[in-house]
Amino acid sequence: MLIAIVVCAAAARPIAQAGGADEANVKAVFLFNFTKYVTWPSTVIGERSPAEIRVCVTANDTFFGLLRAAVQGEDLDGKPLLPVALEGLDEARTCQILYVGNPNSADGKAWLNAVRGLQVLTVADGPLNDETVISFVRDENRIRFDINRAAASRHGLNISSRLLRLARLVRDR
Amino acid sequence: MPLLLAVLTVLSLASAAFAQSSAQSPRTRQLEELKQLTIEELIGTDVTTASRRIERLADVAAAVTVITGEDLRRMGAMTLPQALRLAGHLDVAQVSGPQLVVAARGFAISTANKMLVLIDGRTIYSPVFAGVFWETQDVIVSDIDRIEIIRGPGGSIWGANAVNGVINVITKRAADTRGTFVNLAAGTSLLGPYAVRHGGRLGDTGSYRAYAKVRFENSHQLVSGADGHDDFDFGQAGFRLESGNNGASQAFVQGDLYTGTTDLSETAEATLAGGNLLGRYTRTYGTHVSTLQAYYDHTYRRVPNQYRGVLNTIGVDVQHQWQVGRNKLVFGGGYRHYDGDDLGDGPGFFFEPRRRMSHRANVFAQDEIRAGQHVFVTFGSKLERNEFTGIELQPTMRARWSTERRSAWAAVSRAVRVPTRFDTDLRFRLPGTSNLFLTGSNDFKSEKVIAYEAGYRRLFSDRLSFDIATYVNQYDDLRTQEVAAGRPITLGNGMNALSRGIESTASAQLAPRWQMHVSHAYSWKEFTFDPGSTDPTRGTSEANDPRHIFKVRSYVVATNRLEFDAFWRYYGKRPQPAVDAYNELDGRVGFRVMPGWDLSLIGSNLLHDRHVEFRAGTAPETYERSASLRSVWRF
Repeated sequence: MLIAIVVCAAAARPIAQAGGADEANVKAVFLFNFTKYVTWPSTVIGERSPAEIRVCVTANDTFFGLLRAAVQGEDLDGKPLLPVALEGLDEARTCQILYVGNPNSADGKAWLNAVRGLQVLTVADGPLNDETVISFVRDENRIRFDINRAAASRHGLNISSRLLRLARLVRDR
Repeated sequence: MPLLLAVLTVLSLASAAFAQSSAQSPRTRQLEELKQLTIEELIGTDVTTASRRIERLADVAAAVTVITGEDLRRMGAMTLPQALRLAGHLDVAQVSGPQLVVAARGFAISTANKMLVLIDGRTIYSPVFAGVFWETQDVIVSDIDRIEIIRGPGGSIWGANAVNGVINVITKRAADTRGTFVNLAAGTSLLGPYAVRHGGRLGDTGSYRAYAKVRFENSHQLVSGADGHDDFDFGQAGFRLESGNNGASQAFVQGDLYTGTTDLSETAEATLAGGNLLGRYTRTYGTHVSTLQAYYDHTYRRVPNQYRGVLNTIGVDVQHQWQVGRNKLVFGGGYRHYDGDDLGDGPGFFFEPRRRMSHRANVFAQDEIRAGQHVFVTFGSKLERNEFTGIELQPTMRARWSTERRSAWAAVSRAVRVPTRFDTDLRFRLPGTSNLFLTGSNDFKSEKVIAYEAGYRRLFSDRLSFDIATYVNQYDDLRTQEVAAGRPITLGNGMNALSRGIESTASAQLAPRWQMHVSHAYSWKEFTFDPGSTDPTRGTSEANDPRHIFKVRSYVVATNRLEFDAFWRYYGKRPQPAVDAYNELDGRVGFRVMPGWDLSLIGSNLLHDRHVEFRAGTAPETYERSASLRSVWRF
């Protein structure tokens, strides 16, 4: 029969470090992982493919610190990963990955609009949006992600089958 | 001496690691550790905050121990017995080969019968003797989410035979086990487990997993040095299909099939086989959660020239959880149907009647009332009907007081162990004749307990927590063997017992990379007999318990990729049949070669060449010092 007395994952040792991870830490490490499973194919002849992978977040002190710890010093196929704290909309156009937090706020919409049609992997929190390629969702006590494959092709990106297999939900429209 | 050297090396490596890591903040350290995980593991990472976890443990007005998936990984547990050993206060002893004795708060015998054990809500105890055939219970330990152990009567919610506690092994959801997992291990006393599991998406949002696992255990020596002839080979495969969790409803189906053989002597071997299928549907309407569960279980056991048993079990359970104002209600009911065919075709024992079908029905209700800002009072009871003793009542009354860092609780409960085939249908023949030597009885009554318990939990800081529980149990109608001239010995209920105990646990983060968990259980009991009882065994066939059980676990993270873990246990001496007190140490060195590939060197029983853990009347087995190398791949 079910657990009527103990409700969910209750650890015998209530110590901060033990077992449970910080949500923000997990998201930062996911962003680092996404660089390995997404490709930015060059579509225009003569266009130089970027010399680095810029992982951008809207200026948010604590999260940028985590992103920097997750990504700094790493590289992908010889291209260094660069954490960026965005100041202006124009700068967003130079990103390979853009994480906006809430995609439905005025700020969120503005950032996503700025990179429409560009080869930028848009990542946000909450349920899938037409403009976000990957969305973080909370599934009980886990952080999962949903993938919008239509948005991925609108942004000219290829998503590896390994990432698609692990997504909680894959939307094709 | 070499052991002392090893311990000193570990400690000095550990302190070097602390010096290095003290510059980093805990947050960045955690991030570095998360970067070592594969993306499959990242999806499975628990993000419950520590305070929410404390809150949940403090919400329980009972003595609870939880073994987490992380505990199982750190200790290199690859089988269910290895997993249960880690639980503080739990008496776990190997009897012979894969056979175990598991008991809480006393009454450890080879057919220990006072704990209710479940895997994902399916009861795995055998109604033939109210205990568990541990050798046929297997899961991929890396797919266990946690093991919850409630010490003390669980009768009002869980039902009969939860007299001294409940053990619930909960496996991970299929959504959390996507990807492929491969486990290869080999050691000096066993080959395996070799396990493979694959999980993926099912439909739009659902998940599935399928697995297979096999292991080959070597036989153990007897005290005399002779071979115990108990090689054990076991294989199991299974699956789980799950719908997505959309917040309103969720369903899953899971099943397993297993087969195994245990050697009994140079020429004979016993065969085991079985399977099960379980389905559960959960529906949430606001604060009302309803669950419907049904399962089917089949077991087959054959010991040539001695015994053949087939058991089919069907179980259906319904439960509703509902928050109404200050009341948290849980109520429901269930039905169990057992169809057992037990043939004793040897010179020793048999069952009369050979085949028996049992029906058990129950209803239960519990209300937890918020009586004040920090005070909760619970009333509950289960009513269960069985064909031997009719209707049994198992009520409980609990109270708890919880604040942010402290909680105290107290409870009074009644629980029963209903008669089983061992108590009613068992017959022993005198060798060479057809005269009965010992017989069960249809008049066998339920064993009963009234338990008075209390406990206290305190979180001193984020680094130190403490938990203590105490109990006084009054047992009535315990099983006896009544002797009378001109009749076979008849099983009766002429014994009573009074037991007392204290169980305490402390958990501490001693340094940024060093955690320790210490537990101690003390228990004491005395038996009395009803006037007229002629039992000559004086309770020695019903309990063989140590007074003290100590367990200590130490986890050291030397670098992001290197871990040193140790588990030390002490069991006091058992009175009769006498077993010396023993203490032993298990250790593990874990190395993450790269994300997705972990290696572990696991040592068991490192302190002595061999030791005895339990005596079941015949020549006891010894468990030797051994080592295993384990490799795990995830992709």
